[in-house]
Amino acid sequence: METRGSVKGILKDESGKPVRDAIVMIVDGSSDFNDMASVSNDEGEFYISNVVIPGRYVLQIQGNDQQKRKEVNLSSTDTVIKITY
Amino acid sequence: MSSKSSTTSRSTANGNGHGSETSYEEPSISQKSSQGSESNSGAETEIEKVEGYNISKPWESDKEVSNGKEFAAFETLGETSLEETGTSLSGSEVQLLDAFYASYSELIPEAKKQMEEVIIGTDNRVRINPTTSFPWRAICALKITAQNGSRWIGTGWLVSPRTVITAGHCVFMHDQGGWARSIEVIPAMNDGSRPHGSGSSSVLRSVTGWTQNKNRENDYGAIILPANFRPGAVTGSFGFSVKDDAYLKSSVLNLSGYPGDKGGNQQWFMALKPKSVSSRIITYDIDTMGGQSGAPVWIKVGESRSAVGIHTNGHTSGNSATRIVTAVFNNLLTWKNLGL
Repeated sequence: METRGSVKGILKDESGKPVRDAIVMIVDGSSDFNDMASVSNDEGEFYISNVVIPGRYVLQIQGNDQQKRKEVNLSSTDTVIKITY
Repeated sequence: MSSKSSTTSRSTANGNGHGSETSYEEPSISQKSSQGSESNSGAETEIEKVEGYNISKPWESDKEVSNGKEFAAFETLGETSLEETGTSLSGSEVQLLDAFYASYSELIPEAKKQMEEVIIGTDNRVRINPTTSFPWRAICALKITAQNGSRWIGTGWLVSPRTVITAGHCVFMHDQGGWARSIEVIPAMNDGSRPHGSGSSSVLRSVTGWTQNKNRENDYGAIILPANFRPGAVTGSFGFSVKDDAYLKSSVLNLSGYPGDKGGNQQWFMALKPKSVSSRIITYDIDTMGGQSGAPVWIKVGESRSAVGIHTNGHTSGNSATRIVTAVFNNLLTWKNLGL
């Protein structure tokens, strides 16, 4: 039986400052995923919700007039994804 | 662009007393401890009790649940039709795009063929701009604040003055505290423009198949807007209906919502025939992105538009919607009447 859960992520710029109000969404994955998008908070925190774990997913981050894609391997819900944007 | 996609429901409300009035007949279940060659002839089946497996009564998975909040008491109408009409109000403002992809577009086979041939690997969405005509103005951007404070974007669509239909996971997020704390609904949002204003609500509905069992087939819900915010009375509203497999497979599906890769404030549209149809899921190669969860999947015949699905999932093997079957239809009708 597949296990679904949520994983937290933290988005920071190259200087280490949190990136807020960025939109984070899954664009590809080893399993299907909900088609909603997370918005990062003041601490740069975002979530990937209701995904099959373990699994591989490609995230797209949208904000500050730029976008970036990042492949992540989720092994457990304790994983915290750290992305430099 | 990747195409993204993908189970049973009982309607649940957030505890405001608008529970299902339907009586669910409890089937008789014989429970025998057979240790010999006891005949199974005529035996009735039951579900094993397995820890962590909560679907004890699949026939109850479309039972309505709420988050216990409401604005006022409303009397539910006793309609039983499986085709609920919407209201377009100003028919003269119908957009050509939608008409182009109408369900009877076999009248223009070459155009449809071209669409199907270019879908794979490319982004075929088109922006809806302006969004001030029907049906686009009846589609809403959702700004969701989960119970734990996390923020999300999604899409919804009006079926009555104050009722917005969306995905179950837009109103109830199991891993974010359950029922959303509040959802801002912005009909026809177009970048900074909010032609019909906006309103927030925490009066939410879904079904137990989603809230208790996290069943993908039951991923649908509703937002009931406050009494002083009735956008659907101005925008018009979608109808919804139950269609059989053959009808769906031969129809062009329209889908429009607010994708995150475009900022979540612009409405983008695409249409295509379904890739496959199962008992509770419709799968298609219509391009979608995060933020389009809850978008209407509708068919158009003439000037009549009828939603047949609620977009929920993405996957490279096909994006997908919760199919509007009789149980879903009945809940949508109940929720529609809450927002009259």
